[in-house]
Amino acid sequence: MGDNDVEMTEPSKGAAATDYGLPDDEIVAEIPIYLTHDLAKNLHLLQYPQRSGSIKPGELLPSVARIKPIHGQIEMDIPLDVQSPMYNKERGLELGAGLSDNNRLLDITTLVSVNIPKNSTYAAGVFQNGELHLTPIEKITQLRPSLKYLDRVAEKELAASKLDIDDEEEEYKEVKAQTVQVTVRSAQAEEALRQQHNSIAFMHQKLEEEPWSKLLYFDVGTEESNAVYSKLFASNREHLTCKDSPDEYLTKIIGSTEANVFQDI
Amino acid sequence: MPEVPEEKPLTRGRGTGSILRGRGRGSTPGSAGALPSERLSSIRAPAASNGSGSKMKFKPTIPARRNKKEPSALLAEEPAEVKPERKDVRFARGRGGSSRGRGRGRVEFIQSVTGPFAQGPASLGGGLRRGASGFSMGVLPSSVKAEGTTLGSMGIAADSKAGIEDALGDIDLNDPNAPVVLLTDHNECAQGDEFDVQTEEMAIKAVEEMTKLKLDYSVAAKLEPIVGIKKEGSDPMYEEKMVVLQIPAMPEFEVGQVVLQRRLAEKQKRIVQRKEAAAASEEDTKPDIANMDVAEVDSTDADVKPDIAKLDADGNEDIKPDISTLGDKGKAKVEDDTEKEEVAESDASNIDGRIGTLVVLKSGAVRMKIGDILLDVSQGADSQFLRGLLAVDMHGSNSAFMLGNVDEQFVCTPDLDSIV
Repeated sequence: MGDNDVEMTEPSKGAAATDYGLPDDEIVAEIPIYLTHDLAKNLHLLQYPQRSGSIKPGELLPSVARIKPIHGQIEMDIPLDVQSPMYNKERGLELGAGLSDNNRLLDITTLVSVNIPKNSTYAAGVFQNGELHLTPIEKITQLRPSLKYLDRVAEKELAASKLDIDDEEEEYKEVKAQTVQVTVRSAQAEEALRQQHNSIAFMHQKLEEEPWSKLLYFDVGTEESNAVYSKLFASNREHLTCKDSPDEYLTKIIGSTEANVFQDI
Repeated sequence: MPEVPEEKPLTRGRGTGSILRGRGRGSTPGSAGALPSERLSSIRAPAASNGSGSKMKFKPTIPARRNKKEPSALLAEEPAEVKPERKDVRFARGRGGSSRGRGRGRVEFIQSVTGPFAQGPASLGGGLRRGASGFSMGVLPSSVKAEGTTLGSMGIAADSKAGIEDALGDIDLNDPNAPVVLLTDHNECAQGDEFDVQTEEMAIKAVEEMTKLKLDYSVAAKLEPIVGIKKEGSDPMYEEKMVVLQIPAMPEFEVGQVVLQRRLAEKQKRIVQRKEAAAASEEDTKPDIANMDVAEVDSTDADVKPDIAKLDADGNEDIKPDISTLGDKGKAKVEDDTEKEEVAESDASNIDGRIGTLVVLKSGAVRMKIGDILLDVSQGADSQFLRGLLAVDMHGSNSAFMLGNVDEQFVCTPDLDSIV
């Protein structure tokens, strides 16, 4: 079969699966596998830990979506049904103070993305017409509700209760002179500074400092999404040559097993 | 004839000089000088010292004890002697029947279930619990049962049809120290078949079950609607599904030289055709411009522009095709650009094509072959929550495209038998 030919997907039914390590077994179906990298850098596996079922068009459609491009964090405001008989408007009004000061109801739930570290290689596979098309997944992201509005409500309550005392303290702070201490960094201080930069608190601070950018969200079933969906399928049908032999592949997975590993023993 | 010493007459009475006195266990009273053949009696004064006139009895308090025994020892062991004078049944039970119905050296634990801390059947030992519910610890399939019993410790054989009442026949239920066996479903003899001794045959069976479990057959059922395996004689109904595959590592691929050259040639041909089409459209539109209105000319310009835009979109490729007009410099430039194209085509991030085959076998196993690497495909983690695929463009237009739900997750593990 030449490389120019489109691979036939006729299943070789009944043939012995000798090539697949089970000579006593028969092949029932054969599915060709294709690999494409068109969306490899852009594909995210999204998980909604607090939702079940499947995504339908219009469901989980955010009214506003934001992104921090450098850190890759995504926020989506999913609207709530405030007209539902199950919605508590009094409580919604109390919690809406965390969103704005204009007697706004809590009418959105904000989902924030959390990156999940990958311990393995994941690939998105799409079955179509008896073919499997794989695209490597770049990131795994979980979307969890953000409760920052509760923090703001608590801050407002605290501010309201200590309003007078805070004013006096601020005046005092303005009068008080600030002393500035100048130090020269030693090697130890440099090391401490480096560790601080690698600390979670510092990274979180950097994340908070990055501004949000608007994210255009296209729901499943829209023209734009369908156009991008078509990129999950490989356009070329020729065979690719695998550069890794089985031994090399095993070494890639488990690492080197040469003698120098046991030098310390 | 030698003289036979005369036997001294037996005398009885105190103060005859005999310090050691038996307790009526066969000692010969007054047989001074003869060593007692039984246990030495107490040197204390007899019961006459307590003044009550009654005999002091020693009743040992016997706590729950454990007997750890090997199977061979258990099987070969004869019932221990039960001294008739000792009425404590617990000893008898623990020693007598422990050899029956025991598999491996499992701990026998006979406990009187009393007090506020009594735990009921759970306190009657792990063997009982395992034997009752089947082996459900996740190591062996549920079809393989591990047996153990405390009924065996009670002297009831595995195939014995004797009721528990027989075993308890000698036990005085009013005795607070008597063992208590809770008569639940777990230890009724009707389920005595479950308390079989685990043999080598069962171990072999367990290994076979494990071998079968190695190949996950649930994946084949999920692939049936996708590839139309189920229906024979009719057109297969292919479903479109989105799945996630977990692979230990993605192998590296490269485009074959023949394929690479062919792709480049096709690309060049397309560019040439596009240029020719653009040139032809320009020639066609020129005479019309003299006779047409301005508006029409604008529209033709608009028609020309997209072609130019398409050429521009191809990058520097539009410069290359005019080899005949460029001369040597043009040729060198073309070669450099061709090399760049080759690099671009063979770049791992741009590679797409067929990498292998997924097969569904009659036994239900599903395997994947990528190059010479054989992988087993099994069911992945069953996710209870919603999952979807999102394509995010963070460096260009800041757009996110929801592509659809993830229906299934599969795990691909390399088949070490074929690799090693």
